Amino acid sequence: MRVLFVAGPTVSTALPMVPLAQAARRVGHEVFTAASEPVLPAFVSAGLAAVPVSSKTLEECRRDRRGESPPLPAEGNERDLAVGRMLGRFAADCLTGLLRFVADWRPGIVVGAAQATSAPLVAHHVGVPYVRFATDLAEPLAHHLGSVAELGPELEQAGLYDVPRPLFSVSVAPAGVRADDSPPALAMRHVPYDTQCPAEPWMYTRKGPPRILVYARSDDGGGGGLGAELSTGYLRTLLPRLSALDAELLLAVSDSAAVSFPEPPGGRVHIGRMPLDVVAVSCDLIVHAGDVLPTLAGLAHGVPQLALPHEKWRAEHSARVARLGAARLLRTTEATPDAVVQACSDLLADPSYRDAAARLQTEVLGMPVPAAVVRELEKASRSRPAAKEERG
Amino acid sequence: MRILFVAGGTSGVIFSIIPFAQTARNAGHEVFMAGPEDVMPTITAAGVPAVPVTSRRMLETLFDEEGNRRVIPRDLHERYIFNGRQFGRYASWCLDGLLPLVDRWRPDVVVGGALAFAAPVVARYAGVPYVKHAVDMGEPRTIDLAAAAELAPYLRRLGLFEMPGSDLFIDICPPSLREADAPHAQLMTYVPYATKGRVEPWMYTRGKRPRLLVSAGSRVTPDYFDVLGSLVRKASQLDVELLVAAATSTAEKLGPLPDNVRIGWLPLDLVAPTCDLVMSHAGGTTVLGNMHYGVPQVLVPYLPYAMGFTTRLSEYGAAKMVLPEDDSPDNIAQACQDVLDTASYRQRARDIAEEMSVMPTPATTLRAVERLVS
Repeated sequence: MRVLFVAGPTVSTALPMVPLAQAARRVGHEVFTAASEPVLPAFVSAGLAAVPVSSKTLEECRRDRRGESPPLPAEGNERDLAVGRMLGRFAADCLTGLLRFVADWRPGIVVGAAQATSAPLVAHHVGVPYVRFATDLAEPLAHHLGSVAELGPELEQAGLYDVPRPLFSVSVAPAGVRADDSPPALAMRHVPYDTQCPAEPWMYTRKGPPRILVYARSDDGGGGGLGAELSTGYLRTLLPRLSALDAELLLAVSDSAAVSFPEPPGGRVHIGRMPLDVVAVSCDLIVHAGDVLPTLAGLAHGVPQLALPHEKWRAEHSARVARLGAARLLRTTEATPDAVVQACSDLLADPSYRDAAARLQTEVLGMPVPAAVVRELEKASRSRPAAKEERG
Repeated sequence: MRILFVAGGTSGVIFSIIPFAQTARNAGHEVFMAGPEDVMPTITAAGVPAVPVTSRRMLETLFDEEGNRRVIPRDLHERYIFNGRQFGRYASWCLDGLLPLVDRWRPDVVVGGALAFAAPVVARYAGVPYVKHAVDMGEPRTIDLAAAAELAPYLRRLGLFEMPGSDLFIDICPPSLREADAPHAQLMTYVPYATKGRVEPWMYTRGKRPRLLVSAGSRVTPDYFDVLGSLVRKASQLDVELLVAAATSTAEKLGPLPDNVRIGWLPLDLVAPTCDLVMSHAGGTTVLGNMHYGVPQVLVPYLPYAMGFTTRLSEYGAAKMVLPEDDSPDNIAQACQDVLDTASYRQRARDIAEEMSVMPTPATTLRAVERLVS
């Protein structure tokens, strides 16, 4: 079987698919991944064959088809639609590269991240099934429908009236955390994966005091309404306050951002690049901006979370984790250093958070492993894509 | 069976679905047609039970929350998205009234006009099939997609992860003029319908001179007004009878008219059969009505959505297109003269009328809807 995996415009859309792509390869299938240049290293460093299909970042796709780059509207429906249209333009750019690629290498099935609206189109072009890979956490419907509307000209060119529906979806979100409006999906266990670097003892060793992971890595290739980073300025205010807690601090930032933090006092603060999957295991709390990667890592490793999301649609899934008792949620406007320190202190002190996180972890561990989903892909690749739907 | 028809917010798109609603009623089904308050007279005047679902008007979609007029983009793609979002906004207002309606009066099937995007949503909400009824010969697909995008928050609120698709698509476009990639459809012949007024003998009687009908539609822009005025002046020098379908206000602005010109309200379905040529802005139902009667046309597709079917009808040979940027009175008069002087236009117009006449009737099509429900 030949499987083509297609990433969306951010690393966050690529990494959750890596275990499935690797599992497919391990049972002997031919696997290619496709991504934009800025996202491509996520696949390459996972040992996967990766082809660049666009050179654009999502931020660059703010520039519309007329060549204008209107500023993103404030939070709300207008902004969601505008980001959706950016995703559509990104997809249009990827589509060109994808069509060139499949002319040389014809896949038997296409697995695309939910934000990769190019995936169903390239699958349709080749005439093979399309499988949607979802986290169901930060994939608002308005983003998807906005991207589809933006792709009107490409659809017309392909003789389509809408984006072809997936043969099925795969979702790594545990049932209770999935959005109510998520499409039906095959469950797959989220196996946290992150780009690796040599592991230092501090990454995987707990010394005694509780460990707080502040996940602030900017999602390279993201930005433009999809980024979920905590700003450097904010972190510089927050960090000294958090160090006052009796805790060890891990601040996961990109290498370039690490230099802008002062030398950590007392050796209880680690700043820099660190593989999320390696460090999350030994942590007691993950603080993040609502990005799917730390959210899913927290769920998979049974670690309580504090979410500080900027955007409403990012707050939604964090709110669901919070309702299940495994997280606290502070919107940016509420997230003063005092409030964050207080929340961290509560989260560490109250065992109910850990218990709820452990329950969710049990649920995650019970979901079918990637190898099981590979068997579903095999079945699907033997089927024909759904007949042209009766749509007008 | 109970059939809920969901109408759009302007008379043209309502006219298109009236014959099918009347057919369903006369076959003994319970029929309601839902629409905004301001179009209730259009529906009741067709003898169809009408249910108001919103007090807001289609025109209001042009204004933002603060009451400022939105700027209509000039770029075509942006404009389609803009138009689609207007329809989406409008649909969300209708849904506020439609959802309680179907809680009280449970339909077995929902039939919606193509641009009434509330229809698929309320059908899914009620758990019944959705039939999409074309209102003209097709719009750019980006309009549908942008309407769906605009409705995203509403869809979410109902727990839907997509815009529901149609279970049956009734298309009124004759096969020769359908796009190569047009979706699978139950075809149905287009029956012209328009609100009636008092009928005068001159409407359905033709004199000796060639009869030209100029339809201004409801959208008389200042440019188009100039065109009308110029055409009226030109007509006065020609050996023709010129009928101008326009609102009374437009008629008054044109001032005193030559003897061979009549202007005012005109029921297209009565007048078209007596005409040798109809010139219009390519409104969806106007074009279809003239096709039905085998009348050649001169079309100026001012609204971008009309460009597609105008091009197809021109290529077919039953119409001549004048691009909006070339709409000088001279060009339009020349185009009218060409069509009158060239027999092939009349022949092709009759060909398409012939083709439409053998398409399935509304009564036949109704059986397809009945099968969907049973």
